[in-house]
Amino acid sequence: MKKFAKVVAIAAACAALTGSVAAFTACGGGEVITVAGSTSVQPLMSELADAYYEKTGVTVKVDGGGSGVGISKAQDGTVDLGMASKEVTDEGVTPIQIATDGIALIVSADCTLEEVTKQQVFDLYSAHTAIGDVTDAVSRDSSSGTREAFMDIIDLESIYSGQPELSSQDAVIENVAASDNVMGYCSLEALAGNNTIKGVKYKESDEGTAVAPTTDNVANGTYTLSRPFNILYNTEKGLDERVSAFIDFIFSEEGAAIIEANGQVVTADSRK
Amino acid sequence: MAEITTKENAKPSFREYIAAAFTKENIAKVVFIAFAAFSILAVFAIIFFMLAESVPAFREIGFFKFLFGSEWNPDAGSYGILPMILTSIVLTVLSVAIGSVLAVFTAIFIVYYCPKKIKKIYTQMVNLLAGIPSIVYAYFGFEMIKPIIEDLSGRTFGYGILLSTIILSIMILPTIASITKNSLESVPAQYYEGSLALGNTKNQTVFKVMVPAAKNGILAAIILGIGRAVGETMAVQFLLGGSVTYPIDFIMPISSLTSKIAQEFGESSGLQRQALIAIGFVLLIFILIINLALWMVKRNNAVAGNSVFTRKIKESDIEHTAPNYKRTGTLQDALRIVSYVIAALVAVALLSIVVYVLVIGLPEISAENLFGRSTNSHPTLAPAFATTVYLILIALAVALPLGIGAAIYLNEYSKRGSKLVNTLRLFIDTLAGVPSILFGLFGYIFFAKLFGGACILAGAFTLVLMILPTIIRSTEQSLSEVPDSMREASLALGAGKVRTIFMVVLPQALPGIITAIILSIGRIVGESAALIYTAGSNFLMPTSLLDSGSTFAVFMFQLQSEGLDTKYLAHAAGAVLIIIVLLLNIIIMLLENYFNDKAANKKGAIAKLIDKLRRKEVKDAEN
Repeated sequence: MKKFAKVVAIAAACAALTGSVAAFTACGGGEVITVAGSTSVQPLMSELADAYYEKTGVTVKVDGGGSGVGISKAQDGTVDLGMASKEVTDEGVTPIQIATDGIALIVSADCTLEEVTKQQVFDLYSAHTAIGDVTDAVSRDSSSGTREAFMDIIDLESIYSGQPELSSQDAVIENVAASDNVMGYCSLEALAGNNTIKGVKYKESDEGTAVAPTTDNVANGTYTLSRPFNILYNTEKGLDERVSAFIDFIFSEEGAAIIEANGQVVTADSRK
Repeated sequence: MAEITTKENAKPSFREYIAAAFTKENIAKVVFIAFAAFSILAVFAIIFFMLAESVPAFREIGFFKFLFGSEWNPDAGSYGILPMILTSIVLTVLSVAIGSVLAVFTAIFIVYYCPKKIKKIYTQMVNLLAGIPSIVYAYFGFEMIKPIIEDLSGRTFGYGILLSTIILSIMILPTIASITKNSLESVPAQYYEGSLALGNTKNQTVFKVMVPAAKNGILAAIILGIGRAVGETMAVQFLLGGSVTYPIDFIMPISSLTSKIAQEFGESSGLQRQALIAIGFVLLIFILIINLALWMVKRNNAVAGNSVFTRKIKESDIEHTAPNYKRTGTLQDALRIVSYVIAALVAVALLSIVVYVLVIGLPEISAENLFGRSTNSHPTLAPAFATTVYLILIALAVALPLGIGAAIYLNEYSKRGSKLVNTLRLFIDTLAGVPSILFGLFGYIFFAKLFGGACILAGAFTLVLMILPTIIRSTEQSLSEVPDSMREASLALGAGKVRTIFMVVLPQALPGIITAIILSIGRIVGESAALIYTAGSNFLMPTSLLDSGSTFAVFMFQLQSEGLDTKYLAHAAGAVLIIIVLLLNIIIMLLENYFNDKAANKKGAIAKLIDKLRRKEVKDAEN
């Protein structure tokens, strides 16, 4: 009987230990702002969040999930802020644009292609029509915000079958860098500091001049392959002080410096 | 102890009747049955919740349009999965065909041809192959094999069925090999001797007598391999390339059922998410069919021969025949050489994976990368350590009592071969065969919603379902090895059943339980598909159990996907994973040796135990 009691006692002790660990860890968190959504906005938001923590001690938790998740989580109020890398018109959420992001068309550094037109890109992606040496294209998977924005701008409805659809920007860059005949697309910031790939110049129609993918050209509107980075809050709940303070930080000079350093274009605070 | 005083003549009053029903013995029995039945509940819960979440998609899209449509383009609202179904089938058939040939020859090599000196190490190596996480295989395939295919074929993209088949056949090899090895070893020794006595050479005996005699076991092994191949997610997600087309070429970007779920689920919402869960449901149906087939095969799996007089083949039997080896120039001699070549290939494959991951990963391991403060933009692996430890502790705290209780019921209470037991076993095996991506989807639908989002608790409960079958099987195995005489001795001394189980039987089953714990830890450490949607994928240190957190494998997946400049950390995580897997394997090996040594002294131990029991009994009586 005693041994049986001992077993029970040990089991109880284990349970108590687990419980206390749970209780201990449960009260460890301080003030936390939760952000989730677009994985395109995530790297920028991560930098902003970390800088904000350094400055104020307020933890900002940044999760991915994609633009769709960002919108739905902001709608049901499970996060303080959603992130979306596209125009948002959904009900129940109010978007605030924090930056504009260029989408670069990329080829490997040794590729001969320098500039493309919208029609050429459309033909390559939809019908597998070569542009000079570039014979193949890679895309993101169909839940990617970058893909959605890209297809919107190029007016693509579907892509040719047999085209790799990759789940990450890194995979796109690796595939492009590995061959001199492949085109892909990615966020403009990925170009900086990467000498295995280069961005090609882009023009809407045959007449205009081709424009290089740079943040300056995105800012002055001549490079048209771009999309907004939005953060969203639940319209009904509104913004409380702690979240407002974080948004103020994003639009402060410090925030702007981070946005620029990350390769995006700063936009004006639409709340004012 | 609460003894039941039987009054044979008096009819018990209602109160006494109730009191008699609620004895410790009866309560314990009910609890054990409930624990055993938990697996049934789990399987039904998975089926029910997956179906419930899929129905909206079936309705919206149309059941037949969904199953037989050939275009998948969520932006345009088309959700057809026929190409993915066919790709899954082609991929499974190819990798099982290759994987099982490799595995069967590997098993034959281990059992009949492996020199005694390296037998232990080689067996351990194949086990190690089983322990390497899918995400590591994915990296290896992506960074090593894909460029080779691109160079050799001249294609732009090396993605596709060929690349995935190569990796997948290595991945399912250990599963098939270890079960084949077991069934070969349990073929009665008389077969071997009889064949030799009739003048056959060793090679002829092995390939014409022993292998055919083990065919049921081999078939079961192959079916289990099919289940693993159909359900494998993370590796194929990285290697297939993601385009939805019919499998008309081996080197061409393509998607399978699992790869599509893994690729799009995390970032999906609305109808697309429901459609992805519906793909999961289709996959679940496939898995259930495969499990039923396995069950049918296992049912008539009895090895021929008289069970009383059957001896298993021994090391010495094989050694004695070695000098009898004659070159006869038959097909069997060629097969022997094939088994050597394949065994060598398997060793090379394993070594190259381990060496590759360590070579690129070890230089990235530093105190800062492992234990530094992890931030959103500059993550370190510190949160992965914490998350892994939390997950292991909670999952084991829940799964161990459940699993041991179920094993006790199956071995100590149930009548062997009864309908209930057969049903229980079917469901436990089914649970064991469910691929981790489906656990991930179920965990997301059920636990993550229950706890208000992906968090460590939701991840841990999902893991409970995954490790439960391992714990039940391993514990049951060691319980069944405890000699009945010990139970009888304990009962004869007046101990109740519960007391006998906890004091006499369970301590003897300790090796099995410890093995189960280590196997479970291995499974948890390497798991990615089931955790991404349930435990979350955050880079920050989890601050509570309701907070999200990533393990090493999830880190590897996440770091690859986020577009951060953090590839070095993924390599470090890979190296850490390999090191942990290596350590766990070494621990298992050491424990086996330790317990084997102990078993040698068991006779003395049993006498001591019974003596101890008797002394205690006397003491209790005195009090």
